This record gives sequence, C-alpha cells and structure tokens, in this order.
Amino acid sequence: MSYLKHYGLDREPFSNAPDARFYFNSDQHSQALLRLMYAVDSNKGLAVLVGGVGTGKTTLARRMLDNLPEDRYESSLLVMVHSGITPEWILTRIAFQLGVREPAGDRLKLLKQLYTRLLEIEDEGRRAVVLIDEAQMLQSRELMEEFRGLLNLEIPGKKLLNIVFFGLPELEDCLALDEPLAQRVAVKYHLRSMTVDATTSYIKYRLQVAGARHMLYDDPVIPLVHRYAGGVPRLINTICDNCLFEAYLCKMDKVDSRIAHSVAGDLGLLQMPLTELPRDRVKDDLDEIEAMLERLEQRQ
Amino acid sequence: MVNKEKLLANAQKFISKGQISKAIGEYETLVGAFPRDVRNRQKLAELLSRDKRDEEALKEYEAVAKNYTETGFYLKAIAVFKQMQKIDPSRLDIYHRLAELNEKQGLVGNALTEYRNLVAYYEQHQRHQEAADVLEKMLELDPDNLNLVAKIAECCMALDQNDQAFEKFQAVVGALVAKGDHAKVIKLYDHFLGICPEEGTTRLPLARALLNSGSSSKALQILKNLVKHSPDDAEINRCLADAYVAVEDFANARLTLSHLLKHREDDLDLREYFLRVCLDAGEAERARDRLEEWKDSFVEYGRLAALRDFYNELQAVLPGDPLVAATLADVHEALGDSASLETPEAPEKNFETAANAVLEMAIDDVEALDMVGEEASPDVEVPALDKPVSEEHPAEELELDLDLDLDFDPPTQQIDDVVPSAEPDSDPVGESEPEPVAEADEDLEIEMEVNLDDLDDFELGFDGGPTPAEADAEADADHEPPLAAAQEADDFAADAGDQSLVDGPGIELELPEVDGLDGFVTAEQLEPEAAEQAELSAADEDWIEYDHPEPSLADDQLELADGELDLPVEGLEPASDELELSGADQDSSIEGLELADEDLDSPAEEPALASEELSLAGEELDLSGAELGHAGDGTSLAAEEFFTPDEELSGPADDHASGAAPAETTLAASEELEELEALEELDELEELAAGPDAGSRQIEAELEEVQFYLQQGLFDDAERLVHTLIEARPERPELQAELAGIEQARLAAASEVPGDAFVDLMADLQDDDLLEATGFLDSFAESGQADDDLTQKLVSELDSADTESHYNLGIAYKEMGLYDEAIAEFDKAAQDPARHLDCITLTGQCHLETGAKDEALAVFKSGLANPGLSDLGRMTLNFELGMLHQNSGELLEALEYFQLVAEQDTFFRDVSELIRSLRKQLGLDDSNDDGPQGNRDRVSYV
Repeated sequence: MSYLKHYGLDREPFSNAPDARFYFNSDQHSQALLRLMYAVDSNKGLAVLVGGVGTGKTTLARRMLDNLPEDRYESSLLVMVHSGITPEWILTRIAFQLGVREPAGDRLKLLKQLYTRLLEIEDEGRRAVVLIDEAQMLQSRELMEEFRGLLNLEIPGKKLLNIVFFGLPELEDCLALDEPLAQRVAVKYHLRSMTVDATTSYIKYRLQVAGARHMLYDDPVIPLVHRYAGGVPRLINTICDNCLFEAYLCKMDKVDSRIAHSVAGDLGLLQMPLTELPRDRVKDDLDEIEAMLERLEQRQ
Repeated sequence: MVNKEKLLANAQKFISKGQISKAIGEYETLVGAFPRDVRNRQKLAELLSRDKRDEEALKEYEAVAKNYTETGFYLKAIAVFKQMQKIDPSRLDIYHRLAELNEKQGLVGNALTEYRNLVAYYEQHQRHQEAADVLEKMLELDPDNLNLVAKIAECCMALDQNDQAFEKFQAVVGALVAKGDHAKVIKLYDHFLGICPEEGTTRLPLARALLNSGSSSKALQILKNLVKHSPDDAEINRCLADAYVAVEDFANARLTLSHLLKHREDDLDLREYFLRVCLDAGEAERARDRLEEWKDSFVEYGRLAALRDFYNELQAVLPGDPLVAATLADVHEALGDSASLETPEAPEKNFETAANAVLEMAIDDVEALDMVGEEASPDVEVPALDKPVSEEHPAEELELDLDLDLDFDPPTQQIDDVVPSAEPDSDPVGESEPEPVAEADEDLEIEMEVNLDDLDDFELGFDGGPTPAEADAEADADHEPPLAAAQEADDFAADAGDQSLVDGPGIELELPEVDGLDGFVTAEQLEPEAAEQAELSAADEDWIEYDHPEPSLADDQLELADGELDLPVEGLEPASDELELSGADQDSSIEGLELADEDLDSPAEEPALASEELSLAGEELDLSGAELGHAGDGTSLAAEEFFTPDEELSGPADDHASGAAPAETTLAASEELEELEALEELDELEELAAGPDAGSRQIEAELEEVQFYLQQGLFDDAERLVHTLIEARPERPELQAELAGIEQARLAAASEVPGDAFVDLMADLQDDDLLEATGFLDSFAESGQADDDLTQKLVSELDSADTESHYNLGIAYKEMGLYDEAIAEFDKAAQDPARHLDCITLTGQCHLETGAKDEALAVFKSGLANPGLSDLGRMTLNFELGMLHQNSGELLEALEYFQLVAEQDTFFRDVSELIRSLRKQLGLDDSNDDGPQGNRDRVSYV
C-alpha cells in the first residue's frame, strides 16, 4: 500500500517531474508569464527569465509553450542539455524546429532557408518563437553571436524571430559574452523563492490537484517546510513528499512538525537555513541541493 | 390514508410543468390532511398568489402568520404579513400588524415605516384623527423627531384643535430655534401661521429666522407688525434693531435701541450696541455724548477695553475733539496702556476734561440740592491728582466767576501752594486737626475725610485785608465761622481736582454727615479779617439777590485767578492752581436766596452763595434762598452735602432759631410758602443745574421715542408721549409741530396699508427659494422613506442595537422570495461589522435571485474593496463571484475566481471540484495525461 492510497490521493502531489497539471500559477509566475508573452506578442526579439535552482523556470517555459497556440505562433522549446554545443548545431536545430524541412549544411544557405521560413510564418500571420531552457549552458561567445545574428533576421519595422532564454543566474554571464546581444534583451524577469504564504498555497494546490480531500499537513508544518526549503519549489516538493512518506510509515493521517524536522534532518537541511545564508553560501548549497535532488530522482 | 410524499411529489411535478392549479389542488389536499403543517399552507398561499387568487392566498397567509405569531416566530410572521401587504396594499390592518410586530422585535425603523405609510394613507383620506393617533404612536418610538410633532400639530389644526396645534408648534419651533435651523423655522411658520397670534412674541422666531437667513426686509416687516402689538417687548425691539441694522437703517436702529434703553438703561450690552449703531450711522457726536454720559458705568463694570475701542473709533472720526482725546487718555491710563498716552494732545485734553469736570461737579453740587428730604450722599468722587492740570498748564486758567455778595481780596497763592500734598503730615491745620483730612490709600485713592467739627479751623486763604464785604457785614464774634465760601471754594477745588482725572484713580472726598454745618476748615484757619469779612448779616430773607451780571455786593465777583483760593486742606489737590471761575454768562444768579436764620449772616455765607451761583458754561444757577435757608444753623449754604435730613428745611432751623431770632421770625412767617416754592424751584433748579443741554437732551430723548413710535406705526403711543411732553413743556413750540406730524403720519399710514401686510408677506414667502430649499413637512407625506436626515439618523441610532433582528428578518424575507425587502434588511444589518460580510453576500445573492447580475457583481466587488476584509471574507466573496460567473456561463472568469479561492485554501467549500469541473469544461482537463505537458514535437533537446 502506497501513501497515495493511505491518504486517498490520485497521484503524487509533490513529484518534481514536469507536470502541467501541477502548474501553480503563483503571483510571480503569473507576472513572469505576462511579461514574456508581452515580449513575444510585441516582437521585442529577446526576453530573459532568470531564476535559481528549482524556482520553476522549466515549468514556466513549458507553460509558456502551452500558451503559444500553433495557429498564432510557430514555436519551439529547445532544452540545452550540455554545454558543448556549436553554433551550427543550434542553428540547424532551430531551423528544423521552425519548419525548415531539409536544413542545408552550409551556414549561409541554412540562414537563407531559415529566413525564407520566417517570412512564410510572417505571411501566415503568425509569430516565430524559440524558447531556450537551461540557457546558461550557452557558454560561448560564438553561440551568443549566432543568436544575435538570428535576432537580426527582420523585415522593415518587424523582427521575424523572438527568442526567450530561461536559465540560472549564470545566464547573465553568458549574455555578457556578447555585449550587443545583452543590449538586445527587451524583457528580463527574475524568479524568486516563494514566501510562506505562497508556499502554503502551493502545497495546498498541489494536494488538491493530487486529489486530497483534506489538508495533510498540520498548520505549523508549512512554515517549517518553507524555512528548510528556502522557498524553493523543487525543494518544497522534496520535503513535502518525504514528509508524507514518513507520516505514512508512522500511520499518521497528517504530517506534524516532528516528521517535518525528521525529514529535514535526513535531507541534511537542518543546518541550512537557506533564507538566512549569504549569497555565496547559498550558491554552494544550491549546488549541493541540486546534487541531492538528482540523487533522489535517481532513487525514485 | 393520504400519502404525503406522493402528494408533494405530484405538486412538484405540476409546478415544474407550470400547472399551478393542479399543484394547488395537491397542496390543498395536503393542508386538509395536515392542517398544522405551516410550510404546506405557506406553499399553498404562495401558489394561490401566483394563480392570482388573492383572496384565498390572503386567507392562507393570514393563517400562517397567525401561527407564526402564536408560536413566537415573529420575524417569519413579519415576512408573511409583508407578503400579504404586497398582495393587497390597501389593507390597513396589515400595516398596523406589521408595525406592531416590528415594534415588538425592536425594529423601530421598520415599525416607523409602516406607521408612516398609515399616516400617509389617513392624511390622503382626510382621516386626521387616525393620523394623529398613529403619529402619537410614532412619537413614542421616536420622541425626538420634530417632524412627528409638527405633523401632529398639523393634524390638530386640521381638526380645529388649535390650542393643541399651537402647543406642538411652539415645541417644534423652540427645538428648531435651538438648533439654529432657520430655514425650517420659516417653513414651519409657513404651515402654522394661521394659528399664531399676532400679538406677543409668537412670531418672533420667524422674524429672527428670516433675519438670520438674509431676508432682513421681510423680517423687518414682521417685526414692525409685532412691535405694534408689543411696543415695549425687549426681545422684539432687540430683534427689530438687528433688522434695522441688517438693512443698514441705522437711524431707526438707533431709535429702537434708544427706546429699549429707556426700559433697560443699565444694560451695558445694549449701550454698546447703541453706541455701535451711532458710530455706524455716522453720528459720532451722539456716540461721544452718550459715551461721556455712560463711561462711568463702563468703568465700573470693567468694560474699559470696550470703552477704549469706542473712544479710539471716535478719535478717528472726531480727530480734534478734546473731550474724546482726554477721555481716551484716561482710559488708556486706566488700562495701563501708557504708550497710548504719549499723544501730544493728551495734556491739553486733560485740561479740557478738567474744565468740563469743574462744570460737571459744580452742576452736581447744585443738583444735590434736589436731595431735600433725602439723605445727601456723603461721598464725592474726587479724581486722582497725579496729573493735576495746573502742573502741566500753569498758564491756563480756569476762570470761575462768582457773584458774591461779599467783598474780599482773593488770595493770590498758587494752588500748588495752597493745596498741600496728600501726606497727612503736611496738614496745615495739623495743630487743631487731630484727624487727617485726607489720607492716601494703597489704591492711590485719596479719601478726603472732612470733619465738619473742624469747621472752626476753617480758613480761607484770602488776603487778610478787609474786603468791601467786610465793611458791610456786621462782624459778630458769635457767628459761626464764615465757612461757606471757604467750603464752597474747597468743594470747588475738590471738584476741580475730581474732574481733573475723570476716570482715573480718584480722590474721594468723603463728607460725613454731621450735625450742623461745620466746615472742613476750622475758624482758626481763617484769617481773622477774612472771617470778619465773611460775616454776613442775613437777617433779611432777601439778603442776597443775585442779579447778573451785576453783583449784589460791591465786590461780589470772586475772581479766583492766581490762586485766590487758599485752601490749606491737606490732601486736597486742586486741579488747577489758577482757578478763575469765569462763568461764561454772567447772568447766572441766585435769586431769592433766603436765609432763614440770621446765623447765616456771616461772611462765610457769601462765598457759599458765590459758589452756588457758579456760572459755568452758560448754565444758569438760580438758587432760591428757600433751599438754603432751611439750614438750621445757617452756616452752610453751599455744602448741601452736609445737610442731614434733620437739618433740612425748617426743622433744624427751629432748633437753631434761638440763636438767630430775626431769621427765625422771618422763616416762621413764610415757612410753608417757602417750602412749596423750594420744591417747585428745586425741580426747575434740577433741570437748570443739568443745564440747557440736559433739558434739551431729555426732550430730545423723548422726541426720539416719539420717532420710534412713529416709525413703528404706533401713532397712539407717539401722540400720548407728545401730549405728556406738551404738558410738561408747554413753552416748546416744536412739540405741537410734532403732534401735527404724528397726525399726518397716521393718515399716511392709513392710506398705505390696505390690508394685512403680514399675510401678504407670507404669501410672498411661499415663492421664496428659501422655502423651496427646505423639505420639512411636505416630504413627510410624499415619501414613505425616512424623510429627513435627522429622522434617518435618529432611526439609525434607534435601530443600531437591532442589527441581528434585521439580519434574521432579511433571511426570512429572502426565504419567502421577498428579495427587495430582504435587501433592505441586510442593508440595515450590514452596519454591524460582525454581519457585514454575511449581509453583502446575501444581498448579492438576492440580486442574483432577481436576475440583477450587475447589481450582484457590484455588491460583491464592493465587499472585496473593503480594506478590512478578512481572508475568509475574501475567499467567500471570490467564491460568490466565481459562482456568479459560472451561472452566467462565463467559465473562464469563474475559473479565475475559483483559482483565487483555491490559492488561499484549496479545501474551501467545493472549490477544488468546481475548478476540476471547469477545467474539464474548458478543455483544460489534463487528468488523463500523466506525462509531461507540452508539445513534444515542439520540444527539442539540444
């Protein structure tokens, strides 16, 4: 018997796997999406969303992709998975994603193909949008210059391609590799960690989406979770998920503070009051958390 | 056996099909089978009503209401009666029942509304008694409501119960006046003028209200009418004066105030008002004269500042007026405002004041003769001596001509020398004077106490040389010292000093009552020669006949220049060291001065006479010997203050007659006649002593009064007054002219006023904007709602404790489908913070029930705009808004609001289910897609 059955849940409420059903339209996510959509709809060219680990960048990228219907947008989400990517490679992939059937091997021909395709999209009354997740991996100046070249594909008075970068704060360094590109950033938004209230709503929302019929955490638990997680959604998910599991093991109907403390201790979070740490320390810790989360995911 | 469930199901089925009659049949069966089930009967009534079978519906409702009332469910009973009222609004008994039930529940506002409807109905049907009865009930609930009292008065008036109407009317007027609500006062009079008697002050509030509302002319019109009936009413006259001032008719304002002052002469406020009006009217001289007359009382009552202000104003208007400047200087000094004394004119004006002071004091002396039969005041006000005129103006002479039947050389000693300082030690009569003649008190007020026993020490500081009078006078060592002249001179000096500082700290010359006429200067103080000179033989009653300008005596003119008066009386500081008593008109005389006692035949009498006939500023002083002759010891003719009643007239004279046989004989022969003559002449003397100005002023004042009466159309009063004046002053021809003027005015007025001007005035007021702006009584009948802010406020206050009842009643109404009534109740209950959110929610729901979506939306959103809204309240209202949009088919908006609720609490009501349902309806349901979202084709991993 899983804890899902024990708590009468339909699905795991705190999985870190991307799941649009669990998209929690928090105030800052809503604000971020509003601005990114504005950048696209206004053909601003380049927009950037920056956020720490687990703050919901990928979720937001996917949410945005969902908000770009094909009848109005030719859109694509490129997720960077390694940093050794070349300009040609990325150019080819963008061309392909935007509908260039047989991308040429020659860069100039490829650019012409892409330009032609963008004109077609424009003629169709749609907008071409490319979302780049994990954009902090674009760590070369050539790559940045390539994107600048793409942004220059335009007709008089109108850009033909809109690009949105989603990435960790290091993305700022990547952009700095090509100052002209950095200057072309029309909209930038930073995702912050959540407040206690937002954390409460977030947890309740996810429980509701998972099919919970009542609150599964005692009132004092949520501030504890927020504190240990530092308001980072992914870490909140991890803590909450482990709490439910521990409470299930203890045959408890609700998670109490004792369980929360225990879980935080197991996860090594007791000594990491993230919200109170200096920035450098936070960064180091985030790396550790990232590694830990990866381990947890692998375990699942 | 009736199957209840089946019947209900059938009825429901018929209702859903719109077959109301069949449904009624089912319910009738049910009610017949279960008569105690009120809910079925209520449903039956409702269906009957829907089927337009009102009579039957009312019957059923009545049964339901009765049941609720009997079982204590008053709120439900109210809701049922309200339903009945909607079916048949003409049934008065329902209004009564509703009012009673509401009253029983403490819902005062609702009860008043029902009563108000009843009153409106009764009034419409001219049933005034019933209306009055209902109004009385309302008044019990809302005793401070002036509208109700006014309405009752109106009903009483309609029932010809004018006394009661008037009583109520006056109560309302009083309250409105207290509140200063002039517009409503006017409106009220508009309704009730018919029962207001014209006489008395009944209509005064109307006039005052009009005046305060800026309708001064109309107020004036009313007041003129009022004053005709009550010419001496202080309130009316005061208001009339205000009205005159308001229309800038200062002349009439002054006349009116003058009239008022006749009856309230001591009213300093009134005096100030009068002065203000005089000044505003540009009659500065008049203001000055009256101020001079009243200034003492202003000082006495501490109104120095007002006095100063008036004089300041006067000085601005009358820049060269010495009197004003002098008094102003004194006032400033009294106020301690020394800087203001530094004006160059001040010393001169002081002098002028002193001169006037001499006049006035001399007049006072003569006036004092009027005190025959009365106790003479022992006190004489002597002004402060800190600024003696003589010191600052040695060159100035105050000339006082005395016609004296004695001849002596006046001393040339300066007053400075003559009058010693106020120190007792310097008393020149110290040897024989054990008491200080004067002593300074700590208030710088020197009280000069003159002991008449010291008369022996009297000394006139004249030159010792024999005077012509001496030659004529029979020196008699037994005679009383010739103190009169000295005394008079002393008095004069004192008076002069007195007046030298009119209002400042003064010296009070206190003259005790003594037996006999002992001077305050002893005989020893007189130089023997002077004493001899002063001896006059007054054996003949016609001893002295003063015929101005010719002196009776060889050298009868006492020229007090160069300090002829040697007054070695300590503490007596004269105002001037050079007093030339120069009567402007030398015709001042003392006629028929009869000395009844031969003892008076002393030189001293002559100075006394001389002083008596001080001819000052053209005032005639006619002294009859009768007034003086009564002095028993005959030693003092001048110092009438010294007379005691016993000494006056013949009584004391008899006592002393033994020593004065010739005079006694003479007196005995003509005593009675003299008395009569004395009395007559005293009157005359009084007038003359007051001077021609005083006489004229009196007449002037009376004529002003006549003018006042004329202005107010009080011709009879004016005529009567003039007649009185003519009787008293037949010699004044202008009085006859005045009489003719009155007749003329009477005729003119008769031709001008054809009817009742007052009625016309009110007719005029009908069209006045002022009235139109007020919604006092009319609104009562026109509106079933609270008609007046005051009423509304009162009702709100009364109802404040009953919010819970209103809330419950609102729910009862809502349950019965009486949504408008429910909303009204929720509005009232919403005053209670604890019920605010519930009331907003329920109000919105009521609006939704009536299909008023926009109103509902507005209500919910207004609730959300409340900054003090709790989280629960916000969730509730968001949820309601979600429901509203969902019911309107606006699913996206509904989802948005539900999401807002879920963000706060996913488990609030069934919000999760609603969200899930909406997402499904909107195609957002992704429950079947367990994998990551997004278009996989559009997602590429690089």
